[in-house]
Amino acid sequence: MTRPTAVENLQLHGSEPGSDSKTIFGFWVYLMTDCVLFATLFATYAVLHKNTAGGAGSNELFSLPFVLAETLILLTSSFICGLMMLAVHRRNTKLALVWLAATIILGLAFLGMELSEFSKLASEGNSWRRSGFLSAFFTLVGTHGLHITTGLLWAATLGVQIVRRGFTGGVTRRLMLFSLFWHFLDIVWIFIFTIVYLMGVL
Amino acid sequence: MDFHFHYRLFDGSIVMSRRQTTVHPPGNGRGTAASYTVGFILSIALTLGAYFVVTSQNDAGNPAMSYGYIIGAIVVLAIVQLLVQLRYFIHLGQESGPRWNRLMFMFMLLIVFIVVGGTLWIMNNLDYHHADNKPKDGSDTPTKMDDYPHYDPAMTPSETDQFIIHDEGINR
Repeated sequence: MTRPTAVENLQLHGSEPGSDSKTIFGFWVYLMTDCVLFATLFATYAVLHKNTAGGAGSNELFSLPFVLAETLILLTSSFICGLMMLAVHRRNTKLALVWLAATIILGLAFLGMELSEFSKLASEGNSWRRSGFLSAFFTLVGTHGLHITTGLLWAATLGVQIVRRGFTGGVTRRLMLFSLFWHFLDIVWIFIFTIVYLMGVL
Repeated sequence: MDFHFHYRLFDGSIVMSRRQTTVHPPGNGRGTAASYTVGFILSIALTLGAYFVVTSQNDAGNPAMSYGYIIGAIVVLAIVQLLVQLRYFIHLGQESGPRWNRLMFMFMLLIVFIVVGGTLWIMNNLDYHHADNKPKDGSDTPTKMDDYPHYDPAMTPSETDQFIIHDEGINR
């Protein structure tokens, strides 16, 4: 077998060679099944989005500048998560923690904006109970928000692990999985932005 | 040398060779600050592009592009952004050895295509009860639909079933 490259040496440090890539492949399979979950929700939304039951439709409810800000915040969070992985591979603890904190803060900002949009809709009588369109909307966007919430809890846990254990094989591997998860959620959001919001106001 | 050739022979086959345990995963730190920055800038440009395609049409009053072209443009921009982020953030397809990650991705695309395409196809065919078919004057009383001249909205559910069965040409 060939000698591992520098990058492989880093990522395999402290664990059985090859086990990391198997774990990451397993996580990749999970992400692909998650795509199928989102696909069913997108299909449901596409079928129901005109069924407003006499209530407000998508062109009356959404504020595009607000959603654009959300999108740019999540995109920046995903980018900074990538910068964090570069710091992790260079074993720069301080920089990795700074980028991880920035990722979490931007993620919280995104989640806060999403929740404020949800509460605004609900307070105006446009909750998920109002129509098939709104049920599908809250289910699709809410499922994404739930993933974001889970990711934020995960990221905070990893921050604690970096501080307490440093970059052991396990912590580095989990950071790689988290970064995959975070980039994946950004891609799902691009499609929510396009299909729900941009097409919604047309 | 010999060993490499030997393992190469198994690439892409269903035989599990030891070589497959050293597959490079996606997101394994192959990116550089430069590649992440390129991906970030492209993503922002594509997002803003899609945003302005939609908003400029709304502000203008008389759209320069037809509805179909706008939809087409923003869908293309979203797909390009998907490819950009897969390439620069997730580093898909840059792994060495057998490409199981890419294979899984292709399989996912197939399933998504069947689920979404199949749903839209069938539901658009069965649009008897879609809100589109409600009268355009905003009243709640349904009228006979243009596409289905024999459909009477006042029918009971079982009569509606019979109508659909008849209309779809299903023989029992």
